Amino acid sequence: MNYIKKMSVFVLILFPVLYFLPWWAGVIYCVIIGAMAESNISAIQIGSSTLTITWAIILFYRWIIGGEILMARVATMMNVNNSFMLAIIILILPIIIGGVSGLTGILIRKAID
Amino acid sequence: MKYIKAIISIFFLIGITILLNNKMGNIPPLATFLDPFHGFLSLVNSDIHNKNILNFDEIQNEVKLIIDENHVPHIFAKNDYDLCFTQGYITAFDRLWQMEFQTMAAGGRISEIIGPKALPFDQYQRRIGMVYSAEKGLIETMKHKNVYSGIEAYADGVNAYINSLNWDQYPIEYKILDYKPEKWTPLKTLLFLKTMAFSLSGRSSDLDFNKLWDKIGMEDLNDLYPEFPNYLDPIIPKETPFAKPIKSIPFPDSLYRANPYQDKVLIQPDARIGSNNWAVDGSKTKSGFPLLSNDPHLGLTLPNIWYQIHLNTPEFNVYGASLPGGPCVISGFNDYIAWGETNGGDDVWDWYDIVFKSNKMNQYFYDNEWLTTEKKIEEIKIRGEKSFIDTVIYTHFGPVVWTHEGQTKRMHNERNQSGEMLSVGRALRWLAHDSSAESKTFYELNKAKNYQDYVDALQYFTCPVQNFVYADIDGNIAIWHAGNTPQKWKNQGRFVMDGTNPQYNWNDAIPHNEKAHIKNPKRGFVSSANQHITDENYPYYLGPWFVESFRGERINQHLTSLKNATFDDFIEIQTDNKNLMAERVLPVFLSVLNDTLLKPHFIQPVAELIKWNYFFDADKIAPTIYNEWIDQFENLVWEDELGKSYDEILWPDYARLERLITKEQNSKWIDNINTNKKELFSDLVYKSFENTINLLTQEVGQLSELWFWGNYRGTDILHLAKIPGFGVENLSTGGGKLIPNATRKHFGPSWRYIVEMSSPPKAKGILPGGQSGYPGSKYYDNMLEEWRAGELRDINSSSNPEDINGKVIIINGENS
Repeated sequence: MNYIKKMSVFVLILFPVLYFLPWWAGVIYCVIIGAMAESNISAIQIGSSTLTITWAIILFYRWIIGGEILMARVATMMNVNNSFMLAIIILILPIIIGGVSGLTGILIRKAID
Repeated sequence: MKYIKAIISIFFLIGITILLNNKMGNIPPLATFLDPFHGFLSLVNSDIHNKNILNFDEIQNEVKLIIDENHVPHIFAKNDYDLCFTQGYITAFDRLWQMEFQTMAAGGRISEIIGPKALPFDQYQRRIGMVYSAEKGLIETMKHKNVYSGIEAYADGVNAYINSLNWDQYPIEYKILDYKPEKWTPLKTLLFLKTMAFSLSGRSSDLDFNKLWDKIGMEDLNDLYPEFPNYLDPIIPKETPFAKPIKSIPFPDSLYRANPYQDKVLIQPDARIGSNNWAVDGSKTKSGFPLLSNDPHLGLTLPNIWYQIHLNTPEFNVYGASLPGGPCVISGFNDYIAWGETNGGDDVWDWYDIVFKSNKMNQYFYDNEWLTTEKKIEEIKIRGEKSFIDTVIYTHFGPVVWTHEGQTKRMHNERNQSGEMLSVGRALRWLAHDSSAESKTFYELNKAKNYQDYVDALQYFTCPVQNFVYADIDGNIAIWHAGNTPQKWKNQGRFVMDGTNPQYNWNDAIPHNEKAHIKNPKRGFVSSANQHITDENYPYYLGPWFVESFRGERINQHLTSLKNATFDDFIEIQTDNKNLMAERVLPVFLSVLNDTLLKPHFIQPVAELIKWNYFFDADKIAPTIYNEWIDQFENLVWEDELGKSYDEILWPDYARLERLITKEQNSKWIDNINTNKKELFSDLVYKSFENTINLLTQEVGQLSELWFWGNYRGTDILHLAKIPGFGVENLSTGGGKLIPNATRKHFGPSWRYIVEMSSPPKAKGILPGGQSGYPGSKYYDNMLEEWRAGELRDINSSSNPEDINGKVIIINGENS
């Protein structure tokens, strides 16, 4: 419960950050929240899930409100079978980036400590 | 250890961030592109106009902009500036990437976007003087203040739209190719017009004719490539009298013979790029009003080359197809007149051999003196690399295209008669390099009220030469062959010419009133389909070849028999799939097979051909067999004597082939010169049929639905930058070359429209795609199926905005 609460707060803060700043602002953000984690594993988890959930919310929202044709065309462009596969590929990015960022955060903290 | 771990992790993170933030080869910057906040998904619904009110400092009076259910903008403005500004704004809203990309291509700037692989293309564009041509056009256009201010207003409108965008809102192609739009300028509008001029007049056969002269001699050359074909149904009816020219053009003392073998033209527009247009007078229509049709056959792409628009001011009310990149309507109608174009096909692209004093190319020999060249430094910026610098030499003919190391042709050194070493290059003389203001023609046509206005407007049209069909509410119909084709001696420009001899220089243009034209002909219709303009009676030489007249002849068959014509009759002609050449040659072919013992697997294909009505319908097998058969036969006839393929050397056209099949079966061209045996006509017919069946079986298997013309040939309408998924492939379409419905694999009717010149006019039109250039829009390709099925949508061109349903946007409203 505590984990969910914490992550919800992180997502709520990240949302405007990503809305107004480029995607790599999420990298910096996940480094910071990773530094606050208790272990390497939890730093990866928190970074990865915060970034992925934030991306997923806006991804599915835009897909639903009129992005069907565009998703299908981009899926073809990227040589993936369908829009659903494209969504998965899109979300793999924040999983990796968020995880690496979180881990980097905690490793920096440990180095400083 | 903990420091090392942290440092490795930091470097790794920075590494993947940089990697995902940058374009790698053809792959867009992945994270930037896929980021759902700012990447491609930020464009969702970007085709929808959210605002009801817009304000711009530049707009002087209130403008009402209505976007109708077809996504066509209707602009109601009170003056020309506001109108053109809004046209620029709304066109950019729907087509910004397309209009900018096309002008960058015209200006030889694609390397800036995609890197060094576009360098040969860019260099060629610079070498043929595309920018030079646009700059000269701009200077001439500036002399016509009202026209130029319209182009400036258009640019202001485009820039207002660009300035309203941030990275998130850039069209998707910018995100994929990772660059940004730049400021729009009037020069870009001119560049766009010049790229149309290149598409429609940039095809060159001079080198081919020189090679053929060497290969088969002048007599056979004239036989195989006659100026006028056997079957001729010209645009201006046969035996129309023409006035004699005031001055005659003298022939040179002897015909210069160039060396064509070092050169190969890098980019050739399609040979059969063309269009149909026609108009009938009230005596042939049910309503008693003239009807006019136009369908330009150009490259089929998404976004479409055309953009429908309705423009209204208190002075005029016009609707039609505009070109994204410039103001006005190009093919359309107003409340008084209607017009539409087909390509003229005149030879206005010639090559001259230039003798330089030295390989520095500072001076060249002309008319017994050394003239000084001009040099223009071209910097071609290349993405990810340092710029390529090219020096283009200009003579009084035009730019020297082939001289440079690494270009398609290197400068070669030759000795003159005295044994002196000379440096030789080859210059391009192209009508589009002349000072001209084609925009003035469209500006005037948009506002024209009668026949004289139309004729006056056409005098400004220089290049590409076009056939402008006309109809008006007074019941008149007409067609003019408009453009400044030079007065040439017969066959001037058929071969590469001598750049030292003034007898080869181009003369003045054909005077405007002597350009081929006809008004209200007795037969009650005018038409053109890129065929010969006139018969031999016309006193001016226009070019060495024109598109075969099968298509025009078929249209004229319809128009001749037409009574009580309606829109439906015109649609039937636009989508007519009958191939007149097939009607003439197939019975000859089949009669040969009839005398032969057929192999078992020939029987069914022959049966398909026997029952065929010569219509290239999508759901028929016979067109596939015939089309391949005639190509195979053509190969067997020409390849042995002339060369390997159509691309390497120009083969005689289908009109000449048809004559050979129907009238010259014992011709020497039938025999294969590479065999000891003497082949007969019947041998070639049988062999070509056998090749056809073998090839089709190999390609698509045993005779089945896969042999249907719509499946075998079909049509691909690809994205302009050929981005996978952004185009439509394998559309089942009928039609083809030599047929009124000129739909082919990648070319075809790029805009179909019909207008009845009642008062007010009634019209229908369709694009092979849609109005929006945004691939996520339903308006991107929503007209495609109707276009494929040969249907047209009703056009609303009311001058009363209350009559037009759609989203209303008020610009600079009086209350805002």
